[in-house]
Amino acid sequence: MKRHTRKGLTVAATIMLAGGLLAACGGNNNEENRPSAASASGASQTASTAGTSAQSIAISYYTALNANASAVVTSLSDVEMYKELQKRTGVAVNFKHPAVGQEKEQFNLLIASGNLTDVIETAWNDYPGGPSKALADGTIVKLNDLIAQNAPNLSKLMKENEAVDKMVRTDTGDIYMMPMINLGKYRSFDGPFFRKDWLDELGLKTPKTIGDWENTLRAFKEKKGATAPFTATAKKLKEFTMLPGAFGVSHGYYLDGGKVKYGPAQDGYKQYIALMNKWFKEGLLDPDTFANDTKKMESNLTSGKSGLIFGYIGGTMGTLTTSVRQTDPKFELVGAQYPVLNDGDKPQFVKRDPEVNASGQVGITKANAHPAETVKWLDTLYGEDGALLKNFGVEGLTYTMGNGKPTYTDLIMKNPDKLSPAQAMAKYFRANYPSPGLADDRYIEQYYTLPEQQEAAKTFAEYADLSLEHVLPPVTLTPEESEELAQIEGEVNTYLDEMTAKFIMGVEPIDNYDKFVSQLQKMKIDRAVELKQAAYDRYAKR
Amino acid sequence: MKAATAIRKDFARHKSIYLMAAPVILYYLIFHYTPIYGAIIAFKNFQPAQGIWGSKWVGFDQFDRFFHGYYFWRLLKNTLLISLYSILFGFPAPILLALLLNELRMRWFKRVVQTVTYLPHFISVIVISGILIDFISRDGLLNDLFAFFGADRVAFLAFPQYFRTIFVSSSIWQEVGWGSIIYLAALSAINPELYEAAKIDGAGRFKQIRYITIPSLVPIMAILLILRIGHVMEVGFEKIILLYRPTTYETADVIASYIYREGLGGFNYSYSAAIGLFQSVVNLALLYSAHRISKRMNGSGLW
Repeated sequence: MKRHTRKGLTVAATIMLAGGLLAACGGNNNEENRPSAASASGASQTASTAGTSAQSIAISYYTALNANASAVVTSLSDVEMYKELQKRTGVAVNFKHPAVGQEKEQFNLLIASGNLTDVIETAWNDYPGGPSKALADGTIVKLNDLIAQNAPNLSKLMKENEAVDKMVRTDTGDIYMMPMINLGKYRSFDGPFFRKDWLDELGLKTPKTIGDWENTLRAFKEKKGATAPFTATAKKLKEFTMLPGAFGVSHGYYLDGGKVKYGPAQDGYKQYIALMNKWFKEGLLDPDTFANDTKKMESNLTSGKSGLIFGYIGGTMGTLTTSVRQTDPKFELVGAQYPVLNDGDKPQFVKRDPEVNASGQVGITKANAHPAETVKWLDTLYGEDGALLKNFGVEGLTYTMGNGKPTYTDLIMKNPDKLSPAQAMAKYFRANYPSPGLADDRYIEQYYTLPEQQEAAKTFAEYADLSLEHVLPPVTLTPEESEELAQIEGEVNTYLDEMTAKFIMGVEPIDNYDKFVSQLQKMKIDRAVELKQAAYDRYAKR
Repeated sequence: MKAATAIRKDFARHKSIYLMAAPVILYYLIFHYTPIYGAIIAFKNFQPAQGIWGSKWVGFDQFDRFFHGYYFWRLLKNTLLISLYSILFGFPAPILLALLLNELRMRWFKRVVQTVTYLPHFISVIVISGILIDFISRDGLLNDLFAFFGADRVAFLAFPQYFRTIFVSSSIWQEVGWGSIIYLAALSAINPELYEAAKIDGAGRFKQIRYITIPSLVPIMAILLILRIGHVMEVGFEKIILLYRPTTYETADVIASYIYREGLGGFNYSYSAAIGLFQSVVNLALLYSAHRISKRMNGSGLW
């Protein structure tokens, strides 16, 4: 008996050791996978073809990898656009990417560690304390002079477009980043999508009012056997403004006649939450809404469990339609107008990208030894050639020129490796997600290959400009205001996420909504609104 | 002076032993003692740009904010409850398993059971959580079983009332085999003559367990329990972060997960350092009191 145990223990110890080794190896792999793959390659060829800059320099570049890109490359160094840019400018770039899903934490650690990369591309309004704080901290440097001296293309765009000039500055007029600029007519890329083939089969029109939506979802449930007629994730519900928009509010701060308001504290939001609760109880809203991730949500739609999804014209409508049609040729989605309460109303909260995108903004850090060269390098992306490179890639490879119009080659549109256009683009250039430089409408016109995509783009654009009255522009707060706001929002956001989910699931009765609002007030939400209002007033005066 | 020479002498005599201990001592110095310096940011308003020293002193403001914050009591309650349930159900489990294994006569069966029960210990917590989520989701295995018997499907992870059960029971499943190893080792050290004597006196299997096996295990149980109590305020927060959702914060959000959200996600490093420090101080106090109690009760403590 004693001998047996000892033998057992030996076996145990061996397995323990082996297990430990395995675990150690696994850990290493995971950590090393992401940020590596620096662009050591191609350094040799640059010297000979160096164009604008006299000697070749190398800059380190931090940015999160967009989902389209992370599906096809491990680093932006592998993206053709940057290889070509290096050939043209002689500037080598070492990309550093945070692990997917850890973007916010790793960005915060990067800032706190003080080991900054030369440039950081992010949404600078999300910097803890805001852009003014980033400048005051010395994390990034003021770009006014650098841009005036080294960025003729960007300077020209700023001079010609007042909105752009306003949005790249803080209240005191400091330029803190080089943005993605969109001057085209396409500004709304996402919205609600219904199963068109189901609507046709049931003899229904694309729903317009909230009542239509409800009836449609009910029909999907009863007649099409959809178990999650409206599929969603907690994040998507919060990201899209169309449903609270029908009740005249948004998920966060919004403008109402020049006055800042906080959506969840309004009566309209209570009505929205009550509606979601009703849909949840009736089984119209996906019962797994608060457990789903995007993948699960999309598979609900493609497997016929759902008939309504929120997403993008490209990445959702385009990608899903193309993939499902391989097995079900009848599958069709339609982009529905943002819903309204009464027939004839106009939707007020359609999502509309501003001239300067909220993300894809590049800041130059104090660690950068070549700020002038870096700005010059980035400025190429605002010029004609650079913008072509950003939006279309390399001539002959990813596009061809005819009659002065670039057209994507089959490498992008009918990729031999069966990549969707969204992914093929991400492999070669940065057109279909925010990135510094000048956007180009001609990309959208080709990107949306399906007629229903073109239609959806028109639908979403119809009332988009109305939201200008309601969407808070990118206001900047002073460092002190930011700190106060961050403290308030830290508590409020957790509370909001938790309570809205509970109200919708019915864990918390909707009758307690007023208690919820008074708790928000105890958490000083009114003060937060005040701070935003002050910042907005300053912005309006710029 | 005398002490110094004594140490020098001892060092000369046991050079290789000191050398062998050096890596461990260095490890603790570098990774456990040096970072304590950083804990002073709990009393500051830490701004990375100004560095640890350059940031402003704020005294106990961060602690004050936590103690008077909306979530303080809930976080404390959740942390303590999850910990308490883990000890209540999780602590006896490996002992029971060890006792059961000890009674087995079939060698191969015993080994198979041992291997099977401690395998989950080696699986990364991410994978464990992934498996759990798949098993208990609305279209998962567990719900398939329920549906087969005609019950309604339940999204277990979405409702606060299930969270603690899921957390504690999955932890037991993961750690029971591993935890039993130390008890099995202790069991093998029991003098077989004791059992022989008991048999001659007519004691059956149960009496042998009760009067010989369990009393022999008490000292090791005491030490493990004291150590466990020293971690009462620490809950395996990785698994919590992987399993909780806003809808289950009510029972699932613990101090450690709150620190994670506030510190790494919210950039409030000073605030989260203060909460972490508070947690460590409470742990230290608990560990010390458990040690004193054990010493008084059965004479064996940690030191």
